[in-house]
Amino acid sequence: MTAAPPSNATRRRSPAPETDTGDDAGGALDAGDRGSLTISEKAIEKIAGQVAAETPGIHGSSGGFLGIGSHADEDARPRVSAQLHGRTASLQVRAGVRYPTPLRSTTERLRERISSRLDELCGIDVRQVDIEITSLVTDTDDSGRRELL
Amino acid sequence: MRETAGTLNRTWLAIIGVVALLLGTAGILLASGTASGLASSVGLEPPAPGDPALPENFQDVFVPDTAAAIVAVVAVVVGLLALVWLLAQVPRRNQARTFRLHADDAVDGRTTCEPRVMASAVESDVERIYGVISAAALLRGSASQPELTLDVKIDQRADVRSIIEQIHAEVAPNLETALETPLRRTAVLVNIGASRGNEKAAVL
Repeated sequence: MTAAPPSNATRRRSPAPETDTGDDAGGALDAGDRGSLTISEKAIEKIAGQVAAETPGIHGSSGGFLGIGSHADEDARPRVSAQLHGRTASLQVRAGVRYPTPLRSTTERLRERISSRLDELCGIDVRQVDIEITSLVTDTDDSGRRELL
Repeated sequence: MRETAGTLNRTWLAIIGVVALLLGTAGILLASGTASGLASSVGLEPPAPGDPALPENFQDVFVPDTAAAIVAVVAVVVGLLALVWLLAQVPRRNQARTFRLHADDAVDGRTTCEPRVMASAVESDVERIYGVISAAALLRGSASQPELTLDVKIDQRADVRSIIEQIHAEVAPNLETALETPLRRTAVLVNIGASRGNEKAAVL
């Protein structure tokens, strides 16, 4: 009961401009006229990190303190930092790669995937993706983890 | 594992040796008197024992004040060159710089990898071989012309031949696959250690 009044208030407040313009236009509105969509730099960084983590052979790192002692983790997202210029972005990715895979082609695939997925999901034009390979993980490296076969 | 200034030393020792040999030959020829015979046979007039060895006005060269400064500068330069040669004797690792794995223009972005990262992957690859206690890898050169130097510590009862064969058959090809280029050189140094490698868990 206590939560109802504010939700009603917001509901009442939000349709007001729509009805005003709706009366003027008298039909369906363009998405741009209804309001603006803002995607923060942090969101783009996280989306790019998730896209990178979903790429086969790419993983992030976790643990450590102040960047010291972190270890490769296949479940972690690679660290991405983005610089936005309008709708254009340049990204820096710090990722681990599975060893032995061809590093050039793997990172090239990651680069293409990030730029195409960011274009699809956010409409951001990715110009440059700088990739720094921070770890190479062999099959035996994850000896700390145990799996039920 | 470390590189020393072998080529530099050989080059300069050869140059100094040739100069010393020429000076020594000239000294012997002059002392034995053969030089005067050779000079007269060529057509030159050998100087008499009473003639001055240097031109008459040779001392005038050192009269101006600048002469002392020039000699001092030349001495300092020679001294610095000698110091540089001495410092070059310090053995160096000469590890490769950051590997650049992108195209030359790098329009789409750069791809970089520290050689230390790659070396640790190679080390864990070597340590997987049965009989190896520990391994230290060092990468030199560049991403297009890499060189691998391995320092492998093995168990005293391990099969050295099989370990070296596995390094050449598995470890080096893995690195070549990762870098997508053949290794220019692979050097393996094998040491025998007493303690046995032991892992707490087996990964299937």
